[in-house]
Amino acid sequence: MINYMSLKFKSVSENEFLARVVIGAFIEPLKPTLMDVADVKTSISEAVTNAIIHGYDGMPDGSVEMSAVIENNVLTVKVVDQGKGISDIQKAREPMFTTKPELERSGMGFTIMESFMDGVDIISSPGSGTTIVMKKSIHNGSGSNDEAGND
Amino acid sequence: MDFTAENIKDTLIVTIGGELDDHAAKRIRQRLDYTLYRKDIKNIIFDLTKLELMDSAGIGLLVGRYKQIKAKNGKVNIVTSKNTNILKLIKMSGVANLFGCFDNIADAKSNLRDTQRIK
Repeated sequence: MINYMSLKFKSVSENEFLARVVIGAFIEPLKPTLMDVADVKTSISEAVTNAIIHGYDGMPDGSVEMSAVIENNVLTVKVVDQGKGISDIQKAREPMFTTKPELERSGMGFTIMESFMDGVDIISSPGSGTTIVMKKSIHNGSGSNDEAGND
Repeated sequence: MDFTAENIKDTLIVTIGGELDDHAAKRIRQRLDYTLYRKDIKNIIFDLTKLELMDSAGIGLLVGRYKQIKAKNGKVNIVTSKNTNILKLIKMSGVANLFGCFDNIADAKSNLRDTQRIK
């Protein structure tokens, strides 16, 4: 099966929910396990929150674009912002590293994305926004809650 | 997101349902900080059994409250259903050892009573 979608929304935290609902609905035809759905939705939540909080520094005047493709049961999802970008990508990937401890950011965003998805690419440079591309094979669990097929 | 906070003696029982993301965490933090400031709370039990999804903002919320409670020599217990993405996230983030982790509220409560008795 080949399918694709794209969604553009304002950089406000209310839209984190929107992004999760849309990606959850998009992968539904693959009959994923509940654990796979939660993994994908959590990872999208991290990527979109990063765009809003870090990319746009919490300012609501930016826009975030999420696009996704399903091809042969592999989901590829991209989250793009035009915000300030990441100056040190390697540092940003480190567990517990955050530039915003005052907001109680745990610094676990990229670690979570890397653990829950099969692959995470970050394309970013200061002043030119950030693109996060994540991939995950979705195993047919017929919507079940068991962990069969998960790693 | 559904959120309630019930005060029993020096323990605050916080129940969060639905999805806990950055948007929800900001609102919960505001309300909890107000309660923790006004009342003499020593321990917190987070009942997350009705939580469907949590991201790293939830970890930030839990660790933030742990720091406040630790300053009062109190304890934070967490209740989650078994085999969920939420428990996986807490363990993966390496913060599980900060909390008492239980799969039912009764055990989380009696653990606090036992801790107090030992003291």
